Amino acid sequence: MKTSSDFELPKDLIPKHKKAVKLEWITIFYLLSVVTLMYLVMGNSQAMKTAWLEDLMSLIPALSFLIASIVSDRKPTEEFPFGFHKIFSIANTVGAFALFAIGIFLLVDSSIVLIKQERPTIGTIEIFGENIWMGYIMIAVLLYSSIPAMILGRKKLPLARQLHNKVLFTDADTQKADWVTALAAIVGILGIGFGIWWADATAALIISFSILKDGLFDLIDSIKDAMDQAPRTIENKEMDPLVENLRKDLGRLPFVKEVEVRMRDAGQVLFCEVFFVPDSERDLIEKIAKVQKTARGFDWKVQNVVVMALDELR
Amino acid sequence: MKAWIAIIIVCLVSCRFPKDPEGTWERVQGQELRVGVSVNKPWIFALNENGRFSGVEAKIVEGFAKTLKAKVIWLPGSESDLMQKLKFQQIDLVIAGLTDDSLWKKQVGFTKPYHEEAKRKHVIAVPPGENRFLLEFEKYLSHHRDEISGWINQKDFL
Repeated sequence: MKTSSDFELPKDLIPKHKKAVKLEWITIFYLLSVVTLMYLVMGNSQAMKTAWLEDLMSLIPALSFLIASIVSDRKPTEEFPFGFHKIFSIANTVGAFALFAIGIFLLVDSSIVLIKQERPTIGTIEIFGENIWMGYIMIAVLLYSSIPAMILGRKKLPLARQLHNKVLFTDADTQKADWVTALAAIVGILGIGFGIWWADATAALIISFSILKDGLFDLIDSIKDAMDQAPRTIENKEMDPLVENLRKDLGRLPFVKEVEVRMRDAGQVLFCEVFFVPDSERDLIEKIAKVQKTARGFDWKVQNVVVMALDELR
Repeated sequence: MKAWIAIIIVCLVSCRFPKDPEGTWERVQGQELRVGVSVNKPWIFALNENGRFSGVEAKIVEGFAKTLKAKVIWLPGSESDLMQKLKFQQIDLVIAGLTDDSLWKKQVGFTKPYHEEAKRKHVIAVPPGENRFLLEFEKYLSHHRDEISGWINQKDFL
């Protein structure tokens, strides 16, 4: 039985995938350095704490991309007859839920700090005999946490599009927007410097909201995914035109009277079911084989094609 | 964006940064420094019955007050009572032989350790969020490190 293909990616995309894996490794080591530095300097600034947790959370998509990459193109087994493609969707759901939960926690935590009017005390660090306010060091670390992240995000975004990989896309997209968090935290710390004690917790509240919002939207998307929603483009703005295009293509086959196509997202690839009404029952096996071949050859993403011939479409 | 960065840079250079939300640093200049004291030998102990204190931390506070040209007002009390007052800015410092593993850390501010002994880091408590005041106090601690370690070496005889 050869239902799922043996490879996940076509040859021309394999180097792209390798590049994405390399970038995600760089991301992980970079994020580890960011998280360590932030932990060392955060003191009792709430904005730093939220930014720190956000950066810690952003390790999840990078890690899950790497883990899923190892697992996803394993051949189907008796136990997992559809293969391991969906591991990407699971990674997406887990990451989204974690983000959502952390968002709620930080929102509550930051609100408490604001309500209790806890004031952030930020001391100094002695560098070459000079006492430097830690706020400046925090700002420097925040800049370090955002500028390389933006560059990495920008590099990963086109790869995610080509690879049709949602985990990579979400990761790249959030990293590209990471400067907003850093800026909010910097404003919070400058606020402390200007003697506005609530600036810090307010910045933390804004960051928490953005984490919660990202987590919630990601979670909704991944739930829709789990419900076998029709494939959408990677930006998730519209239905993937692929389904309709394939339907039109199959409709142009001389022996096809009517045809319907349905697909579901299985991580990087799409699982496809085709129902068609043939002109006659003559050479039916060949006709079915032709439809399957056309669908498989239509796009590398279309995999696991099941074809059904019917006397009418309902 | 560029304009904003320019404004921020100008402010950082021109105004004294960071500032105190409650203006403690400016208020104590040449005025009174209200110091909560909870006796904890040998860091801080009562010298005699007429309200004078000595010990390493009392010396530090007196030295700091001198740079401010401020008069020290000693306010003896229990640690928890003094911490409450410090939290609501009713006093300016608390000396009680505190170490930085104290649970009060979350409610008030601590200076960086001025001394480490038997793995315990000794600190002095400041009002929460008064970052200019803290900065100036920590500067004093850094600049007078030798003097302070001199006091620590003879702390049992002060």
